[in-house]
Amino acid sequence: MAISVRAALAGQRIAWRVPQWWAALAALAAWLVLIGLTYWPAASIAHLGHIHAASASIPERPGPFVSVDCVIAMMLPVVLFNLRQVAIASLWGRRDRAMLGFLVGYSGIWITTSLLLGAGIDAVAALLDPAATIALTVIAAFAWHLSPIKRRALRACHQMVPLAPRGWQADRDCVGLGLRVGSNCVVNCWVLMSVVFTTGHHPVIMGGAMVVMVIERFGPHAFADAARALKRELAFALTAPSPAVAPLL
Amino acid sequence: MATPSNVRIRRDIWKLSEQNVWHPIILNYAKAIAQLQTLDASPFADPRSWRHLAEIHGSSIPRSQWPAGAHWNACEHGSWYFLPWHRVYLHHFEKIVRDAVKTVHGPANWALPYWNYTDPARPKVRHLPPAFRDQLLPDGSPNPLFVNLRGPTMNTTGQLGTAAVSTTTALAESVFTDPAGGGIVPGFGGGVSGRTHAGGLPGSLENTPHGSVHIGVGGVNPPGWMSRFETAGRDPIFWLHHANIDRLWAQWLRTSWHANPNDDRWLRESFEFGSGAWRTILATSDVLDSRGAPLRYRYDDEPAARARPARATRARLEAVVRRGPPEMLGATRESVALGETPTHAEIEVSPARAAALASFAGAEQPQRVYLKIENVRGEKLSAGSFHVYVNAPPQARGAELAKHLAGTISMFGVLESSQRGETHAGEGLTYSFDITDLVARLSKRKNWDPNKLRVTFAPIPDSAGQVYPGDLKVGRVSLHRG
Repeated sequence: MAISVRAALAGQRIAWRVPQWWAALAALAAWLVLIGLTYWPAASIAHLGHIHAASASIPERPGPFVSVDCVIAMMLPVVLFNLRQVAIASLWGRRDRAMLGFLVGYSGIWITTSLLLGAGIDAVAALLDPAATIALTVIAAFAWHLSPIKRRALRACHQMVPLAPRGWQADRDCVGLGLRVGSNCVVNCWVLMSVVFTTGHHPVIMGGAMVVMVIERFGPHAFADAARALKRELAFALTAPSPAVAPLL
Repeated sequence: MATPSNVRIRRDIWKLSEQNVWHPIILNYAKAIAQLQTLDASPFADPRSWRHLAEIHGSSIPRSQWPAGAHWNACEHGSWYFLPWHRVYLHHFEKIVRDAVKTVHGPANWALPYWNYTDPARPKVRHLPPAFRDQLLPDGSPNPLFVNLRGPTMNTTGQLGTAAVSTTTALAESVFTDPAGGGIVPGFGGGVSGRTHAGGLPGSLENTPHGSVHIGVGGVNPPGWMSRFETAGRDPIFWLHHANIDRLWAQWLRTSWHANPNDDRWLRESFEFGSGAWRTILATSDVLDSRGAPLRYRYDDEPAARARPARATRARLEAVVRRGPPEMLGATRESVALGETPTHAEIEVSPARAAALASFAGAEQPQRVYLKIENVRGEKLSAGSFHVYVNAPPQARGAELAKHLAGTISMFGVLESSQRGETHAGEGLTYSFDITDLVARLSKRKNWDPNKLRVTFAPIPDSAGQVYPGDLKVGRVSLHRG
C-alpha cells in the first residue's frame, strides 16, 4: 500500500514537472521496435508490409507501420522541448490533449513528407546507381546545411504561438502549431532525411541523423544536459516527501 | 581584501559631469570614438572600427557581405545569457577604446563610465549627460557623442520617465533564473534558454530598466538608433547604459541570498568577439568576478573590499526548484491591441481554479502568481513602453491606479523579433510578472476576483509627451500559479 502511494506520488510529480514524459517513452519504445526489426531475424520489415522500391538499385522502403515508427523514433526527441512548451501553456486538464494535438499536426507533416520523399528518391534512384544516389544526398545535406533558408527554418522550429485556453479553438491552435513547427522542421531536415532513405532506414544511420538534429537545435551538450535533467527529476520524484504544489485535480 | 591597484574603476558619468562637462574621462571617450570612426570603411573589416563593434550587437547587413571573421548580429536577449554576453561585449569594447585612448595621449587605465539614471534624489540624471547633447567638442570639432537619431527632445530638454528607470522590480527578484525552465518565472537574469537572439523570456532587469531606457533614448516615431538591435551600438550612450546594467547585476548580487546560476549550461557558454589580434573569447565562468583577470574593473559604488561570493540560501533555491513549472489557470481567447489609449483584456479562469485563487492569502502561502504577456508583435510602435494593470477600476487615476500596477513592458526588440529571419522566428516578445504581492494586496482590499480578471495596458508617452498610431498586438495574456 505504502509502495503504491509512493509510486503514485512519484508519478504525479513526474507528470507535473515533465509533462512530455510519455512522448519520450514513446520515442524510446519506437527505437526498441526498430532495433528489434533490424537485428531479430524473425521479425523483418517485410513481415510488416514493405513497399518494393521502384528500382532494384536502392534498399526497400518500409511499410506504413515502420514508417510511422521511424517518425516517432527520430522526430519525437527533437520536439520534446516544443511539447513541454505546449503543455505548460495549456490548462492542467488539457495538457496531454494539447501535446497530442501538436503531435497530430507535426507527425502528419512528417508522414506525408516521408511518402513524397520516398517517391522522389525512387525517381532519382531509377536514374543513378546506389552509390551515386547516396553520395548525392550526402553532398546535398552538407550544402543545405549552409543555406540561409535552412537557418531560417531552424530558428522557426523553436517558435511558440498563442494557444486558445479551451474549446475547439485550443485543439485547432495546437494542431496548427504542430503543422507550423513540422513544416519548418521538414524544410530544415529534408535533405538529411533523404540520406536516411537512400541508406535503407538503418538504425545506425537514423540514430546518427537524430543526433545531428538534436545537437543543431540544442547544442553539443544536449544529450549530457538531458541525462543530468533526467537524473535530477527521477531523484526528485522518488525522494521528495510530497509535491510542493499539488495540481488542482 | 582591498582592491588591487590594477583594478580599473568605472565611474558615474553624471558625477564626472558635475565636476566638468568635459571631464578627461569623457573627453577621452569622445576622442577615442572619433579615432575608431576613422576606421569605418565598408565592409567594416577592421575589428576596431566603430561600425564593426556596433554590428556585433545587431546587423542588417546580409551575412554574405560580412567581412571574414565577423561575429555579428549576435546579441543575447530574452535569455539567461543576456548579462554575461553583454559583460564580455563591454570588456571587448573597453579594451579597444582604451587602446584608442592611449593613441590620443589619454591614460592607460581609462575605464568606461556608466550612466546611472536611477536616483530619485537627483532627477536630472534622467537626462542624457550634457556631453552627449553638445554638437561640438570643446575645440569646436564635431562631437562623436552627439547622435541625431534619438527620441524627440532627448538631445535638449527631454528626460527618461521614472517608470523607465525603475530598478525596484528587478532588484527585488529573489532568483537569477527559474531552474525548472518553464518560461514563466522571469527572475533577475532571464529564462533558461539556448543561445538566442530573442524569443525567450527576458529577466526583470532586461525588461526594465534595460529595454525601457533603450527605447526611451531612441524614441519610437521613428525608432532612433538606441531603439533597435541593429543600430543601438552606434550610439555612444549605448555602452554607458550597458555598463549601468552590468553594475546593477553586481548590485543585485550584493544582497546576501542572491546568487548566479550554478548550472554548467550557463557557466560553460562562451562568447566570441572580434578577430585577429583583437579577438576576445570568454566563457560566463571567466567573467563572474569582475575584479579578477581578465576583466579587472569595479564600479565606484562597490565596496573597495571584494565581497564574499554570493550564495543562495539552499532553502530559497530548493523552494523554487521544487515548485516546478507553474500551472496555467486561464488565458485570454483573443489577441489584444496595444493602442494610443488604454486597452483591456479579460482572462477566463475556470471555476475550480478561481476558487483556489480566491482563498489566496498572500505571504503565508508558498505559492506565487504570475501574469504572462505573450507574443507581443508589431511593425509600428505606438509607445515605447506600456504599464500593465490588474483589475484597475475604470475611473482610477494616479496613486489609486498605481496600486493595480503589475509591471511595465518595454517594446525594445519587438520590431526585430516580429520579423522572421535567421535570428528570429517572428513570434515577438514575451514577458512575465510575479504578481503575488499585488494579488495579496488586492485580496485584502476585497478587490481580487479571479473570475473577472481584467488586465489593462496603458501606453507611456515618449519624452515629448506623445503616443502614436501603431499596430502592436499582444497574442495572449495568461495567469499562472506555481
